[in-house]
Amino acid sequence: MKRYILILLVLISVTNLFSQDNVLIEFKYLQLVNAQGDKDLAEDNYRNAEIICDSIIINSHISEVNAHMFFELAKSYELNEEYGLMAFSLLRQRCLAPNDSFNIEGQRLFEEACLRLQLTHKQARLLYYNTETKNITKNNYPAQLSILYQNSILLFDASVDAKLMKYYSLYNTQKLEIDYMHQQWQFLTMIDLGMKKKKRILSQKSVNSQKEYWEIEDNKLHKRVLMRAEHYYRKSDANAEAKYYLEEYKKLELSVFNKIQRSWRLLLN
Amino acid sequence: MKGFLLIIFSFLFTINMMSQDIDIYRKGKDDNVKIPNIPLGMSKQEFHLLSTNLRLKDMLYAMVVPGYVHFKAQEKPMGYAILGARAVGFIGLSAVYYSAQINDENWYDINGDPNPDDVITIGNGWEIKKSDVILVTSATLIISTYLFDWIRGENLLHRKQDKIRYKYGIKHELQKAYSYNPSSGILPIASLSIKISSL
Repeated sequence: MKRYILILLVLISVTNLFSQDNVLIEFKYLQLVNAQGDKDLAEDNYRNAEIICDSIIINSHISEVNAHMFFELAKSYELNEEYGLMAFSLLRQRCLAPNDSFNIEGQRLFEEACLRLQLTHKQARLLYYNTETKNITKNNYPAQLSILYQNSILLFDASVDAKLMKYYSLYNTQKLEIDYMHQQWQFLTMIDLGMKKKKRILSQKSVNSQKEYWEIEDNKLHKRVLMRAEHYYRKSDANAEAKYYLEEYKKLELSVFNKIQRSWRLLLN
Repeated sequence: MKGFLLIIFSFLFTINMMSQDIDIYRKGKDDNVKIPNIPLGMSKQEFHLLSTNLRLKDMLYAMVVPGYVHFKAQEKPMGYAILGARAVGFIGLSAVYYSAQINDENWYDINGDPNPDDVITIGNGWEIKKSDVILVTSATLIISTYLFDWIRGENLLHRKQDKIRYKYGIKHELQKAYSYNPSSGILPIASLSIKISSL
């Protein structure tokens, strides 16, 4: 029995060491590419680096190297002016791999990225301080992931939203309570509503969680969301759901053009 | 002796004729069966790019298929642009040919007597037929798109291949340097080697 436990322990430690290897190797490579300042090489490696980052998050992997990896990846995104993913990478470092030595440089880079994303200085600072983490353990990993999620959607960047949607299934497995705003964000991202409109909806101060996600005070926006939802479900061959949104659309105050549009959509269904 | 050589040559010729294909490049029987050592994390697109070769036959294909080399180098937008430009060139040539057929003229006769209505005057009275301008422009477009496709496409493919080789080459070396190895971290203080030499 003792022998089996020993073998098991050795196997676990070896697997752990190998997983650390991948992060370390990717980090070293990023460091080399960033030092060269080669945009092509950096862009070419994003896919590989993101695979490693995803595996860190999916496995709730905790290591000192992770902070270096996320930070170096942020610098790599800066080379190609991918400010959304740069800010997101810094948030990942803040939430999931805290390291005090990156605080000053990290804040400068984060604020620079946020300003390029048309956020204000105040908003950037708020996001940065909201994501401050003292330490990360297996126990608080889901909660930290939740903080990352909540703050990242406020970056309002399409590439970040695409990445967050990818994490969403993982987020569900953690069985965390997701607040109304994030459920609404998920719905709006799923139906592919434009970023400006999404920002307008999510930036509303008063959020009534009793309402459906598409029930928005601004009538024009309300119609737009319903039409996008209908389009999304029709394209996904979910015709019954698409018709439901058309029915909701019918309840609104419609112009002649809106009525023609609705009739046309009914025909398509 | 002559008879013997004749038999050997005819034998070799028969064997050659029986083979299914004539390969200019050396190709092993099991080349397609061999499973390559693909680096971890390499995408199918990268693998495809890395195993792409440009040979002389591709030059011929590029003459027939506009943008062929760019498509091969996975540069579709530029490939379609070349396709469009080449199509414009062919439309120009066809227009010149059919207009010459209708007017009962020689379509490729650049030095022929120009029709006064069909002439453009450039600079100090230098006259040139409109159809000749279209003919030369179209031909130039076709040739230049072909050369552009070949030269830029090849350069692009090589650059992409270099990038992939560099990326996985460095990572492979890093893997060797940092991977878990029980002996890493131990400095050898003595070594024993056996040298086998042929006398």
